[in-house]
Amino acid sequence: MKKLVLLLMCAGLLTACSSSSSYSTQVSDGDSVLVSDSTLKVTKQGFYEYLMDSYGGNEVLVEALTKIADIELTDEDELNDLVEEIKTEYASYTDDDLSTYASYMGYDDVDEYVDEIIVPSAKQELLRKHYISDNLEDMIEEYCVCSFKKIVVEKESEALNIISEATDEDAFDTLMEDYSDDAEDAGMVTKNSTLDDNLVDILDDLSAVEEDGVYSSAIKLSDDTYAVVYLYDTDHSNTDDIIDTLSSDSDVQEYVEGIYLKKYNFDVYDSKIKAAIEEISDQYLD
Amino acid sequence: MKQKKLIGLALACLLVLSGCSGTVKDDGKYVVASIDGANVYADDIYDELATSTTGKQMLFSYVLDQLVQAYYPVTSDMETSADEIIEEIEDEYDSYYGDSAEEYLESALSSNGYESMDDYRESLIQSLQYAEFLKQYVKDNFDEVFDDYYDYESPRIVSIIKVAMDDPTAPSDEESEALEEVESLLDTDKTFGEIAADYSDDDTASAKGNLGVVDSTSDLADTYGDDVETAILEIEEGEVSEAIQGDDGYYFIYCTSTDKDTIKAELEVIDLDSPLLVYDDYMVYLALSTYELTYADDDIQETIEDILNENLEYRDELREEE
Repeated sequence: MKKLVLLLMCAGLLTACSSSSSYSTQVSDGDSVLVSDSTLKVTKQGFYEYLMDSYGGNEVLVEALTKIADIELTDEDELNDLVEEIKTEYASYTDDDLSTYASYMGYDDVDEYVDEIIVPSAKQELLRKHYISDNLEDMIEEYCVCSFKKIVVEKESEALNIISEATDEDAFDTLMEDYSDDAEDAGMVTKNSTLDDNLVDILDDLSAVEEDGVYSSAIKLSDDTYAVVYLYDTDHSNTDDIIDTLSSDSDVQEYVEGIYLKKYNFDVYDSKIKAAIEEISDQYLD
Repeated sequence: MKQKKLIGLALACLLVLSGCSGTVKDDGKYVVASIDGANVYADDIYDELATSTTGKQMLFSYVLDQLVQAYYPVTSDMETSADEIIEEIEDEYDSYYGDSAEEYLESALSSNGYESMDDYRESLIQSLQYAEFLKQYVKDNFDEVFDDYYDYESPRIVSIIKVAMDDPTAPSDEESEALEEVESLLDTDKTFGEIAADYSDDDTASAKGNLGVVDSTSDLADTYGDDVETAILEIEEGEVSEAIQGDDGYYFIYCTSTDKDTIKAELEVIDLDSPLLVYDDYMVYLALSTYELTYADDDIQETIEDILNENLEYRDELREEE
């Protein structure tokens, strides 16, 4: 019996039981019966609450942010361009056929997928990008944006020798070839990137460097090896890349969404949905 | 007395008022949330979610869930069974982790999406309700279900003898002797069942080694190891296997029967341990299709029937591939 019980639970057939406390909001004609037989009565309000249990918090956020985006975003061409860009990107995963991709995502109708998923997602992305663009310097500082290449060696003395030898980018690149197994271009990173903890600790210093070149100290990593880093794009003139990187950072997303929701005095009147939103992030509601 | 009544009434009113204090309506419609200048209505959220692809899947799940709740409500037996399962799990954790059992159990619950043991208990009870739902379908359609099970799973009735070893790759002298003795006895007139009863170190010894009806869904590998499971599922009726190295000893396997009528007779009593309840992942769709449901409109009917038919067609395809 235990096996059967566990199988049923694992098969995902068992969905969340209806919660003990109910919602204070009601859908119109909530008592109307959607499906029935002599014993069964599935009501619209019951289904509403069932949907809300799984998706309520998230859906209310999407609705609110979409309404904010509709107010904030005035350039329709910009939105359409981004929608097309996302469509092309997703289609590229399935032989340039978006309908195949939509089908993998559970959508038989590609237009439905575009309307339900891609357009709201594009609106939220643009909303974030506008905020980041308007507050770029602060965001770069707050999230410690920087770009670097690095060589990792066993001994500090070896690291210091590399620092002396790497007089310019070409010299560093040549050294990277020599240390090919222990060298990489980390590209653009933020404080939320997956990096050695000791690198993250020093990232605000690296981000503040204003001239391309080798960082003056060898950085001792958590495994007792030493990293020599070459910083580039220190003038942060590659704004599009920076905005893209920050926009795809989940912490930034949460932060920016919180800013917009508070700016527009976002309020929730159903305590259960409010709790669900607070569970998603503590930055969305005052 | 009067005062008590009044206090009670006041408290009740307070509860009602506080329950309603958060609700906001606009033009008769419930407002879930708002931003400056715009409301998010319950109706909008419902329409958005219910008409989405995910919402359609959710409708199917909800109807299935409500049907199970309506036809197979929670019984005290289910609650007792859930409590017994939980007690068993807690005992296992206690014996394995000792003082840290609670910590490990909480972590296991959390990683499986349960907030607490009460939450898990609720899921267990719900799964027992689903089990009753499947059991009723199997009872009502026993011949059909059994034929499919027999064709699809090739079940057999099997007995085993286990010679336990600490490390089967390097048996001790005593363990090797025990293995040789069982091998020698298998060449005598003593029956497999008698040898199992006298020499097997498996829990089945008291049943003369009888494992009962087994198939590929019996999770034999978990208990005996992959090689033993493979041998059990491949052995022909009447055959006794060579000694097979398992995870914790050597095993001998005897296939008592692969006969359809014999196995059918064994499975006639449908309880929650019956393999007929677990072998078919799509049985829940078959079971649901036996209910004559009435739908509010064509869209809802299409949503439910599309999902049902899609899964039943996929089930047919799987059987054609076999």
